[in-house]
Amino acid sequence: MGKFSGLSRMGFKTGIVYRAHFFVSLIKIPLTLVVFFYLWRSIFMFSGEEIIQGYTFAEMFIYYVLSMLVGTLIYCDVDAWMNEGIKDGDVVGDFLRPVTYMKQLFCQYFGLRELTFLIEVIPIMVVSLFFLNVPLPSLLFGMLFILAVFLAILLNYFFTFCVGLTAFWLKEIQGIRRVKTAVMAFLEGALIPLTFFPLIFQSVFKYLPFQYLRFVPINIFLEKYALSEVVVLLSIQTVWILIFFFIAKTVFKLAFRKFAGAGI
Amino acid sequence: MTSIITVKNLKKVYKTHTRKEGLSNAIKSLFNRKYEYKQALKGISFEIEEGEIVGFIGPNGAGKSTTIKALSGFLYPTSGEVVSLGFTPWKDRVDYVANLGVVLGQKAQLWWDLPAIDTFYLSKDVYGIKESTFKSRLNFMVKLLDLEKVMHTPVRDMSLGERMKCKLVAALLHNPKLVLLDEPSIGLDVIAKDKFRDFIKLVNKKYKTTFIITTHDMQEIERLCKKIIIINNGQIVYDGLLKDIKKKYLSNKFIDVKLETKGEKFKLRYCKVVEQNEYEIKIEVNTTKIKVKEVINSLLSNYDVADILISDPPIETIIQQIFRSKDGKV
Amino acid sequence: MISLFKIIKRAMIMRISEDFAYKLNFFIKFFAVMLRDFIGPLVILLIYTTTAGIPGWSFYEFILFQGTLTLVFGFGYLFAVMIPVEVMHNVRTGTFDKFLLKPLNTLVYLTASSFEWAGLAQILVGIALIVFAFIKLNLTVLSSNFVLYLILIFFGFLFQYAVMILIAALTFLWVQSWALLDLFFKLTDFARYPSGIYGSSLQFFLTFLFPVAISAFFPVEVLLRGFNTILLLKIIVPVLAFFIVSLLLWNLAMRKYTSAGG
Repeated sequence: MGKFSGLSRMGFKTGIVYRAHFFVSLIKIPLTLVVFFYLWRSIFMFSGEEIIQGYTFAEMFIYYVLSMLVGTLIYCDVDAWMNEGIKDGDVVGDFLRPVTYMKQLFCQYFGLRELTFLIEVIPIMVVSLFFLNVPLPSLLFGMLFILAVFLAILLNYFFTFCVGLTAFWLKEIQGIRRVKTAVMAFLEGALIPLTFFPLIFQSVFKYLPFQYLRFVPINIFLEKYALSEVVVLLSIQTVWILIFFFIAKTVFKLAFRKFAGAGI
Repeated sequence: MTSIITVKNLKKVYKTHTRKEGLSNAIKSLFNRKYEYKQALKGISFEIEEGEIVGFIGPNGAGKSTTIKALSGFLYPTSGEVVSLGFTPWKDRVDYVANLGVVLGQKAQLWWDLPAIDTFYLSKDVYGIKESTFKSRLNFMVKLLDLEKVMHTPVRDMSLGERMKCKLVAALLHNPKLVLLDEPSIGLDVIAKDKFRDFIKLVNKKYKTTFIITTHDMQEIERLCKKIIIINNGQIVYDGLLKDIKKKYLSNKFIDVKLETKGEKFKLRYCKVVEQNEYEIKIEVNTTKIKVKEVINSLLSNYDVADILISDPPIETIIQQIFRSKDGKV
Repeated sequence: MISLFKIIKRAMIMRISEDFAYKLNFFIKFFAVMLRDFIGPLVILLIYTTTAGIPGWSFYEFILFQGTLTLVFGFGYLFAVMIPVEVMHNVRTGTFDKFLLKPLNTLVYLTASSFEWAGLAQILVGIALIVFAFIKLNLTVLSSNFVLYLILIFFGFLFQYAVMILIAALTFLWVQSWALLDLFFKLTDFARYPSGIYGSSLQFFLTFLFPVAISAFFPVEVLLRGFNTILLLKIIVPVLAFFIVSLLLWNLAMRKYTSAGG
């Protein structure tokens, strides 16, 4: 692991150089939460109901707190790194290292996740525990939540890597990345819990990969599922990880052939 | 001749922060930064006359680019005075740069994804060049530099040399009186370099354009510049003609002798044999101690000489000598 | 002045040809922007079909609100958003000097070479939503309210521009960072919903200190519910003040950049 931890530390350090990013990210998340807080407060007060689409107001707010937390943890922009590297040719340097491209990027990504955990996630957790009175789930569901988030980190990496691979053909994939970001925010449940969708949509979402990135881990934390449901959901999540892993591996081979053939 | 640039006692102090390597230091620097002050220019003065091609020489970090930046109008010096083309560059920036052309080595000045011709047209509008003038100048330069076809391909697909030529064209389209070239020939091959130099000489002659060139390439200096300014450690250590520095600093000459028949081993005081084989002798002569004439006489009387070549050591050697000498003064 | 327009026109053409260098990407980007801007109304639709909605705003009024917001952000996207991006990129690669080597105002030249044509997609979506809401709400364009609505939309754009200059300036003064741009986009999140839903101190902040409420709330409020002089002053003065402060900071930043030597 020595070699890999070296690479991941590199990701860690390039992250910490942006000290502005550090301070700004400390206020960014609370700001978003304030907007959601007021939005749902006015909606709940106006409708006069205790529970809307399965959430009380308190749960709804915790939903967004957790959404921020999970979203920060799984945030992945390796597709942007790949795009840059392919455009300016630096990717050649990555190919020269005696570690596969997918592993290298994963280590850097994972290194950044560690950093994110230390400087962004821990503050959110501390604040939410002591000031927002977020109720903790049972030990079992807590463990399942951690497992689901860990799987989501993997899922998001392999998915994003697949998106990034398109850059080998298109060179510039800024457009694709934007479609991805926009659609994913909606379908992951980052903008509004997926229970607000008509039922037929919800049953389709179950077999798509998106809800496993955010909506499912959050609702495990909130104990909205029975244990048997969680097992099914985590299995589907794992299958998606495997699917994207194999797509990534196969397409990378094609991409490399294309790259080596074109001799950029 | 009138002087086009006057620099008086120009000083520049930079403030930078430092960070030691390592993770813990990275974290420390989040909260506490240490600053360092660096004197980039310690009060330099020089003058440049209209129509000159001046070589600006010095090792990395000597203050070359700081001077070029001050002359480009985007550096506020700490103190001192610059009058260039009648302007104080950093105060009258807009009016000043209208008469200035700058080529910054490897930095992108052309629109990367577009053909160079698009950037040329942008220059036309930005500098308000008349259509007819624009056309004739463009044709003149494009022909000389062989860019007729290349300028229609996107810049990203050009070779280094082609890019450099295009940058030069973009910098010269508005017929600036003064042109600053910062490391212009880095990465060019020998043929491209030759073309490049001939072109600069031609423009200099035709339009009386003044050029200031920073470079590490001494051949370039010898080919282009009559006058050179050498800077080291933020101070000017030499400002004058190239041939004067040679005269003043050259205590050595090289003599290459080719022989018709085999000769004995050469020996003479104040002469060092660099190399000798059966038909060739290479000698380094200390001209302060012995005249070249004496050496040649001795050679002619002792050997069956076929050919003699007398040469100066390359300018690199001189520059190195200057930088190595203790006070760095000539 | 004429030559300035010529330069701007030229730069706009160059920006679009640059986008067309990667044609497929450009069309995908265009499509992405449209898609993203239809997601906002979709969320609203989900909210209004499952709840009583947001107090004081009918569904179509909210669509008008959303359309206006999209239009204003669209103008910001077209003319302003790329300014800090361009600055950060050039400062990092050490090529910012090219903007200073041109014989015209740096900010004008920078703005001209930072057009982002994908903004048009956003503007189109905004107009579509506004027209849709106008028809559903039976609104007329023949009123002083509507004229003022258009003027306030311009001020909304002016605020976007001011913020982008501010970020670009801070790039030089503080440290270059995407985080600032991020922070701004987070702050604009407050504009996504009518100011009425927030507490009073937050409303004060959004009206006077960081007057992002100009992006949609005030134009739509004036269009739907009329105006008076005091309200107009309350809306316009903070935006103008913010704009002036941004310009001053920009000049300061240029001064700092030129004394640090890049």
